[in-house]
Amino acid sequence: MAEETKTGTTTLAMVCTDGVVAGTERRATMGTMIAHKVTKKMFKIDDNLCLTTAGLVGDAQTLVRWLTVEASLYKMRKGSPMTVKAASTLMANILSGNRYFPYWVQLLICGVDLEGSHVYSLDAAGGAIPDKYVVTGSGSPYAYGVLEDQYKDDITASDGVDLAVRALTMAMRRDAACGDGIDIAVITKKGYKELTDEEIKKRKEKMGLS
Amino acid sequence: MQPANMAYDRAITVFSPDGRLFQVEYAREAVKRGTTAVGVKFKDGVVLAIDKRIASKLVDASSIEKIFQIDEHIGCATSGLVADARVLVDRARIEAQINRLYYNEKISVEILVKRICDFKQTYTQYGGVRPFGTALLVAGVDDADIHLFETDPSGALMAYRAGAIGEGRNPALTIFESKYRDDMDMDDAVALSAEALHQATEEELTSKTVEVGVVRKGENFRKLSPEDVQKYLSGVKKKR
Repeated sequence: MAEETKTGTTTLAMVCTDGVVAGTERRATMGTMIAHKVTKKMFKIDDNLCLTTAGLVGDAQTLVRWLTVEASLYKMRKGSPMTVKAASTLMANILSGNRYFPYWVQLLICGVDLEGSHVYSLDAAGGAIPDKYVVTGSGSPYAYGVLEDQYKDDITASDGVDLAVRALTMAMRRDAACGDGIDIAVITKKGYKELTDEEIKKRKEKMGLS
Repeated sequence: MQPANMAYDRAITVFSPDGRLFQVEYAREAVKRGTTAVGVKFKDGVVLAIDKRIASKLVDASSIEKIFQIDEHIGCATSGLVADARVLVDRARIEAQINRLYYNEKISVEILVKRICDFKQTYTQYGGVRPFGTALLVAGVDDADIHLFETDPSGALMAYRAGAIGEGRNPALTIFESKYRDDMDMDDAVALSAEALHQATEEELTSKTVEVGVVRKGENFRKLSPEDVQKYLSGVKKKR
């Protein structure tokens, strides 16, 4: 792959006792250049579903539109929101169907449904694997270090946000392809909420992270 | 049929001047001549029952099947043209599996019924085809609820607490209207179904000629064994 199109990113998602937390940083690179500093890598699919993307932006945005449409059709037909398993299976089918001309993405689908909170990681070949927490992208080794150390099965969504901020901050410190701020989304039974820059700043200060 | 109307029942895509589709109405007649099928919801499930109406002693009754499993959690009873019913059942089974393939989930009963009805509807709008001469009673349990639906040849659907299709529809519905209760358990529902069938067919019901299917919350759809069916039938006989 050409150096210019190689992408670096950190995205993460984790299952918490009362919901899920997803997080990304905002840098997009073309080779050694920072191409964008406010890149949206996290997308609300529905009130209960979030998708984070790493990889080619065009491919990712196409898939986001596709899944959003499918989720809204699903909800209208069935009368209940799309489950996380359904969203992941559908997206895995789409990715698998394009095996020989693949969408160059690594996705995390997370959300809340009647069966609880779930995180799935999806690869370009159509693999979909549920997990407690997952990190993708070039910054993942650094973020994983934090999560491996501090993630607990009984973590609340509020503590999950702090942990996500901490993990992303470490990835941004050590991976040149990551930086330029943090996006965090929290999904609970109450719905989908993205944190403001101000809220994230407060949490960083409280934890003593610059 | 009045001679003036004759032109309107040749091609089904053509409305008559008073807005009717004769071929669809004829298909409903085919259902009215079909064997009776009933369905009854009870507090944690649904029962389906049919009478096979065996024409001759020489027929092997076990080869006649009018209650079908569609998926783990859904079954259906048919009335009308048996061959058309088999095509619809096959289609319904495929739709149920497609949903599993797409979403890794069991299809919701309502969505399945709507898919079947969409399929039936296309046969009332395109040329060179005829409608299905079959009505279905679809019973199922999903995470939303317990369901019993009736579909007719036009592609219309309706949800029932207790429903009946076929020749004995009216007598069966009369029984349901007077005796149906929301808090019935499975035994009550099977007994009521058997009673409705008995009323509708005016023939001696035997375990060879009656088929019963049940689906309950937390259990898969299943057909009752002839021994179990016999048990319920003798219960009804005693009551009468």
